[in-house]
Amino acid sequence: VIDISLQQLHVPVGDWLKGTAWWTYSGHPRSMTLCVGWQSIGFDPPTHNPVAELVVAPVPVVARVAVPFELQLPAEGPASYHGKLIRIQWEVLVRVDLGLLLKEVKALPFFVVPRPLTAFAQP
Amino acid sequence: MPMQQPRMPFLRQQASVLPLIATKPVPQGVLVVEQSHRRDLLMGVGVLAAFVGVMVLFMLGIMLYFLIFFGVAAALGAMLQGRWENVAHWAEMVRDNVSGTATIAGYVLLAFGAYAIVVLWRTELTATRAEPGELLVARWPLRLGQREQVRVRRKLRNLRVTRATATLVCEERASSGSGEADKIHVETVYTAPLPVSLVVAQKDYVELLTSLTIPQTGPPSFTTYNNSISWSLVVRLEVASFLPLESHFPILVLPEVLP
Repeated sequence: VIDISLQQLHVPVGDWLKGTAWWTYSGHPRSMTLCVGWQSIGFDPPTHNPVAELVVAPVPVVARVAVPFELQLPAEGPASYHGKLIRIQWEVLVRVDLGLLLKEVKALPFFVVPRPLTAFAQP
Repeated sequence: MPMQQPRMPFLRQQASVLPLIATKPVPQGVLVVEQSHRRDLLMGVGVLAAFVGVMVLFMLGIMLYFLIFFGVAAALGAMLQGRWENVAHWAEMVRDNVSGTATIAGYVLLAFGAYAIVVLWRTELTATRAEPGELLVARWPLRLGQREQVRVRRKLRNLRVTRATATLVCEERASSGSGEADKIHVETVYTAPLPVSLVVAQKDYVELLTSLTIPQTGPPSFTTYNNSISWSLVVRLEVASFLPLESHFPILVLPEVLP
């Protein structure tokens, strides 16, 4: 069973995304892959754009494996968006390879927001 | 058991999701040249090419029609008489009888040509009487919530500007399909008319000032191969005796928000 927890669900662009992925033992997996990425969903089938990936192999044989992670999001985004034609969606994806073509996958969406600027003089 | 793997490595340097907008640094800020002027010129050339194409097709059609008509009618007349040596005589008779039709076809061609010339005059000539517009911004790129005064200028050739309007527009574009079935869907998600003050309105030069504010809750600029979010300033100049001149200036909005 996969669990994902994030320190915050709304992360400004360029900030650090921090969290932990958990794997509760139910068979010994070959590897555990964490992937953070975004997809823009319009009319065409969406394509996943990974910005970072972490592969844990071999996975320690314990009852509950915790993989903490932190990653700096790209400064230029994209920011999450829900418009009329298109959507931009970020997610953390955890994939556990159990061997024999067996896989367990879990995704947790989160929101990337514009970075607040304080030191900027308006005319 | 927590693992000591705190940082995730970046897979690769991802391609920029911000649109590439050509700008030129100047002492007062940044200059953005409009992209729509070239399109106006191309439209004029396109109308001309379409006109020539239609005329050629039309004339070929008429020629073919008369060739068939002459041949069939003359052969039919000769066959009915049973005297094939009279084919030339029958052909002359047919030609004399259809000369009225040919005259009407000539008038149709003339009217079509006159209409095409008017269309050309109103599109091509308007575009050629103006240089591409220029947008002068003090700070570039813009941020969400940013208020900025911008200056728009354009060189003209004997055009009298009677009125100017400016609009801030945000559009979403999404493509679907591929190849010939490719279709681009466009949806305007934000539009706001802006106050405009004409600083100079001469026959050879126009300059205007406007103030725009990117809404705080709006989306930043974004582009991928099939989806995009684009901001632009649309400036429309009403000119006497010609079509209005419309300039589209792309604006780059970063994912940063001002308080």
